[in-house]
Amino acid sequence: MYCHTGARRSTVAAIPPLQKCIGCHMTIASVRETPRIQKLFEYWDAKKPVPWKKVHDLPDFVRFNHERHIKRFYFAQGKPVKEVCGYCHGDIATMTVARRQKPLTMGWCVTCHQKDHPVDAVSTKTTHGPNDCWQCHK
Amino acid sequence: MIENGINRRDFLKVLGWGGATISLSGCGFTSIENGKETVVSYVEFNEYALPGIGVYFNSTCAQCDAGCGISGRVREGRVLKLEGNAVSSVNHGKMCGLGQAGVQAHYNPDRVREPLLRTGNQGEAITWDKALGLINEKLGGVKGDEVAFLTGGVSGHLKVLLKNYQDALGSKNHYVYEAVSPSVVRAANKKSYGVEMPHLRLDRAKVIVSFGADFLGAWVSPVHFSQQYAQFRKGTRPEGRGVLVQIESKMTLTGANADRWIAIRPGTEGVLAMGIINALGKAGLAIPADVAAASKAYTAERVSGETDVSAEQIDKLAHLLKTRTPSLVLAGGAAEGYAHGSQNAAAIAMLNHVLGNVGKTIEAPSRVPFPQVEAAVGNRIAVQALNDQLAKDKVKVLFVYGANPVHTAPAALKLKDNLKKAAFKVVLANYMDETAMEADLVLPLDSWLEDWGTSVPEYRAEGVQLNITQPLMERLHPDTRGAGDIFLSLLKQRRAEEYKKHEDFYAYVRASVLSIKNALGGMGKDDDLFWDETLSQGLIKLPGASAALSAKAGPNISLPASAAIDDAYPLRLIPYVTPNMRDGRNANQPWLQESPDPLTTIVWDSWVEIHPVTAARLGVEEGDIVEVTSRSGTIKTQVYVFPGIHPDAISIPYGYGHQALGRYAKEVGVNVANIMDQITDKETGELAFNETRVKVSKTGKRVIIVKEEGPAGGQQMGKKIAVRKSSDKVDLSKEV
Repeated sequence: MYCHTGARRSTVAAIPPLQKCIGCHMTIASVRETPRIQKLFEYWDAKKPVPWKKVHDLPDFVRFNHERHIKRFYFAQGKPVKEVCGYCHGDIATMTVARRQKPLTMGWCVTCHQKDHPVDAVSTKTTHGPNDCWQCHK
Repeated sequence: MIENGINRRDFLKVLGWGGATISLSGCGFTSIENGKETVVSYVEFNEYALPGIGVYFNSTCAQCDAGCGISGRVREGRVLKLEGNAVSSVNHGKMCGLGQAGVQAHYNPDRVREPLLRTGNQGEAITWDKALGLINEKLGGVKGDEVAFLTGGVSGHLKVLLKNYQDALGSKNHYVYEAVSPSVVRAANKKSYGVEMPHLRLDRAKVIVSFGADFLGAWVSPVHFSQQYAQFRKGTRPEGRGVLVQIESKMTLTGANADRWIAIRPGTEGVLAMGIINALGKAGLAIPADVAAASKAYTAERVSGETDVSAEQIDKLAHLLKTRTPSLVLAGGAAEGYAHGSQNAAAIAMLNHVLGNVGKTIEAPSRVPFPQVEAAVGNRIAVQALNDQLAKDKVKVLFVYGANPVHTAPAALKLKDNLKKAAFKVVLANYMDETAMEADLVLPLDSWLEDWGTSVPEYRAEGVQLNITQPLMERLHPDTRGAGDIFLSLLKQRRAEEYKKHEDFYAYVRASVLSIKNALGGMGKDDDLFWDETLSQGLIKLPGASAALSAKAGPNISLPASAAIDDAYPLRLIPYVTPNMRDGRNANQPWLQESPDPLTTIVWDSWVEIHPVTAARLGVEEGDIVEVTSRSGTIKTQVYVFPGIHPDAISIPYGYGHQALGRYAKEVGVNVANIMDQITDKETGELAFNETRVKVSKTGKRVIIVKEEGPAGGQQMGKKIAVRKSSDKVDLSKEV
């Protein structure tokens, strides 16, 4: 994960600093003159951050911890990246502009939390996500 | 949180205090916000910083003068939450409400952002170069003794620079002003114990008798004393569980925690202290002959008549103090706030001597090994003296830093008018407070979460500590500066050669601390390593020996006879220093306004506490708007009927009623300083806080008081916030 580096090691996935976008895009000639990339460089020249519209936005009373989910499904269970990220975000690789693909409602989260799954790739022990209020609404 | 156009107040008005889920937008989904919030990242960001992960930095709280250490959580370059610094001997990792509200002092929308020059009635934004140049210009041709400095308590390296700047100008006029300082007690302590503020051991006492010292609320160092108090109340300590007796005319937070609260006639605390000494003698305690002679006249009969404390109560107190030793007797603001306040404090100190507490619960404070950084302690004579000089046209240039006398000093001084006589006034401020509004030049300060500095608290908790103030984030507004940097720049105007080697105040502090590294426990350590460790800790513990406490003062106590009741102004006014507001400097922090007063639970407004018997006699009820009038002025506020006050006294909280200081402070409550009489303690000349006499008259208007206790509903700053509906009339079936 080059851009949203917080996903695997922090509570928030984080929007990368503008510097990171420019880091790649200054060398990608094929899209350099497209309108949106030009807009990006305008922000960079003015040293103003881009006001992104938050696509996967949960209300302030929900505290969603990205790191725990990645740790469980990618690192412990060893599932492939597309499956891990795609479960909630859909197939990002096919999107030019990211759009929310799943409901992200509490009921939807809880349905997954109630499913038993193996603790990691090799264990026979199973567990399921937390179903107490405190974990997400602290 | 996004409210999608639903006005919370209207919403609650309909439902009473019940609530249904606030629904948010979303195409068909009821709880996801879709594209409603923007998220903005940095343009360039440190590689090592992780979004979402907090890093803690230690610094020092500046919300009051206790000097607690703080540990601030910083996320993505923003300080978000303050906790206590576990290493600090002042607060041991704990915090009070003021500290928590510190972030609001920092992010406050009403901060001054640029230097402002007065042009008529407006402030014109100018550059720093122009501002500093203007100061230099205005000082030209002015004699040293025509320049004056009015500051709050200062210590640490800022004090050093300030003193050097004063020397460079040839000015000796440094007025250190603290509106709520226990200065009379300090002077009495100096006479009785040899030091102004001895080190108190509440945790070693078996009994604490406090004459109005609100040590859990707003007295001296509340967080530190609260921790000692917690030890005091432990049944498992060798002394057993302590007993607290509070004697005061108006109940404070500490009084509410006391095992016994004694309402005393205002001003008679000294008489009671002498009465207790008399009773102790009768009970068989060995008392030195001269003290016994002095207390002979204070028989239980006489004392109970003067103080309204029954003879039985006096005997009980004497018995308690005689059998449980060591004890600790404290003299607080309530006792010292009279024209004979010094005598009250002296009598109370004598009681400590008689009980043998000196050396046991009253110890010598540690000496500060570097006196230049020791705290310059403020009092209220300072502003009176400055006022006199201003009135005589003796002050041409005035610098103000860390004080807001136009709000806190009694209006009777006419300070605002006298200030106009000074030709050029420079105010260093964070916000446009009342004093800044009178300035000719306002210099915008960094908040204490963005600034560098050192400080030594006046009350030395355990040993001496040099507190470090370091920025927890980059400054919010590019044009503010730290006070240290401002005075360094001004010094460079006068003594360029001497100070040019210091690039800025940070460099000055660093070099200064490193130059005494060996004395601070850094012998043999690398400079950078020692400095990093110091910053990481947020403080340096200084080695400090203690001087011994001197012998007792002679028993020259002369307490006045009970003052006659003034028929025109029959009630005594007690301006109450609340734990939240203190002297009102933090009134623009909404969390503190929102925090209910511990005794009355009132928020966002002033009030006047009246005893039920007095209220009945005056014919007032809770919520009645009354006029409180003294010889010096009149104010209007709401009545709160409260049994925790002597029937002949009323109490109004101090620090409210700002006319400036931003949107959250302006016009919230009334300013009790507007009606305080300028009466002073005979011995020290300090403002006698509790000497004002008033009368109360109804206006015929009544409001519902907004407070935590009791039924809901009321008016907040003139606006109705919710209807008062009894629960059987609320029909939720139609709303949900």
